Amino acid sequence: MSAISSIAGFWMEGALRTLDAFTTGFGQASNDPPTATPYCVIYEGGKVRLRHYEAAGAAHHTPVLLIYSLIKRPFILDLMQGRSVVENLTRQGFDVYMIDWIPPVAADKNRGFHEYVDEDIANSVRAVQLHRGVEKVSIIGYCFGGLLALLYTALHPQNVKNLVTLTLPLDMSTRDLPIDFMSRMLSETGARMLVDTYGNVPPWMIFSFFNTLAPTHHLIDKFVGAHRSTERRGYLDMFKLFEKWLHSDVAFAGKIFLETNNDLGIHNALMKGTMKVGGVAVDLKKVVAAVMNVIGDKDDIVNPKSSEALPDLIGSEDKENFHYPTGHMGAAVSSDALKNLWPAIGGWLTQRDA
Amino acid sequence: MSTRPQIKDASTTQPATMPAAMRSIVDIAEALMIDLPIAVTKRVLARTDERELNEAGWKAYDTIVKVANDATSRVYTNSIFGRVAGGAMEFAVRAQRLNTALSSAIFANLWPALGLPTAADVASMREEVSAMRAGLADARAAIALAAIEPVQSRIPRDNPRFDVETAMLSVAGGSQRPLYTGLAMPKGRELAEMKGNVSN
Repeated sequence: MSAISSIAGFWMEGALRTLDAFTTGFGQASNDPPTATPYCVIYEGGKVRLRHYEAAGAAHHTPVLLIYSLIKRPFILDLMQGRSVVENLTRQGFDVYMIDWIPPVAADKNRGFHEYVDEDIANSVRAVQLHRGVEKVSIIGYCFGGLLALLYTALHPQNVKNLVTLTLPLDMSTRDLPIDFMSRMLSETGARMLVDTYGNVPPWMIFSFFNTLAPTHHLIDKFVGAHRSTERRGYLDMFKLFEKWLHSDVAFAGKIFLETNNDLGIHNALMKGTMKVGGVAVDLKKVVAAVMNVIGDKDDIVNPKSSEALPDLIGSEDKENFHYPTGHMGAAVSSDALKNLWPAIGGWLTQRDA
Repeated sequence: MSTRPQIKDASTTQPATMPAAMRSIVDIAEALMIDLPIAVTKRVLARTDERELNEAGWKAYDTIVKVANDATSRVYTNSIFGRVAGGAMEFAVRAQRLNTALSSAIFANLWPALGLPTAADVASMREEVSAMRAGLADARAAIALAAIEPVQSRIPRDNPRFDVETAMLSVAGGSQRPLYTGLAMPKGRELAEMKGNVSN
């Protein structure tokens, strides 16, 4: 088969996938691929479905709660056997709990940080404490999930033993990458109008935003890449699953979008110490858990410089920035990260398990 | 063995002060006007294998993609573009709102006259049902959390799989909808044996 017909085939498949998502919807849980690691749902409430993945062999004392971003489905963390963060952690002896966020509906447009952090995450942590019979948990937060995890840890420090944040968007004053400019192009009034019009930020809008950031890649280069890597074992399966995940955008609740765009994005409230959640001021100095802040040096979605300030802002004595040469999603799916980064995270947690 | 003349790395042949846009043009020209023609000529005249031609082709492609990516980044990091794009987005949202308002004004009187509910009626009904669902879900969540604790205290810690199943049933709160969606749940005889072990 010639290169052109092969690339055209991949492109057509991708175009149909996108068309299908625009007509039938993006990140519906029913469209998730089969789970790679078996789990049970132990708690459901608010916008949370809490999954439990059992440790392989004897479990460490402190369980791990995984918090993923709100705007895409979390199956990227359990993509396929051998390419799964969850599997990696359970094999290292961790009892893993993961929040599967239930997508917001129209009636959820008034959900903000307070509802997600003080209610949903708080209830999930409580469920883990009860289920596992422990006083404290370790939390791993990825991207926006890292931000939620950080806020929870600042507001409820007594429940968190260790906190690992990956690709954490923190300092919004950075101005290096295209996304730094693109994500701040909407004024406060514009954001308010968007929410007044749509209620929640629609998934198609989120999908379009991220595709616009790298048009060459999404229009042609990723399909060319698929063609050029056809002979790599397992690559095409991985490519298809990753594509599925790229189309798994979920609506972003109106209020939390406004808080993110206006308070965090425009006013940089978390860095300036003026952020409030549910009327309570967020004091990052109250974070006393051991903190590992993983920064992807090649991240083009969350500016690495945006994460770097964390250790200076929190009250923990045991804290570190951990730089790793990976991109935003490479930290979750690249074989290199699963071979080196996640064992390093596991090792760090194990040292602080007792 | 390849006899293709080696083209020096662009960074060594171009002055360090060359503007980025100029460097992009030079890179593309180098790939399309030197590498590729040489490879094509050799393929035709010297009857070499296709590998070299493929390599030159992919090099040209990679250069073009890199230049396109750089150009996109330059556009996006331009503050004027940001202002224009932000303004365009706000304009689109305004237009959408105007469209919705006009449609509502036109059809608001027509629909009730035909005995049909308006979109606003349907939306508010939906919101009411959703709010009731949310209230119900919150109540169930509270019951579920309260239920885990006493169950947990009766179950020995050395049998986590049983804990999972028990907690899961607690969460379901006796409803018809099982919350289990995983693959590793003990079933049938295995589950009975586990329960037997616990009661013993």
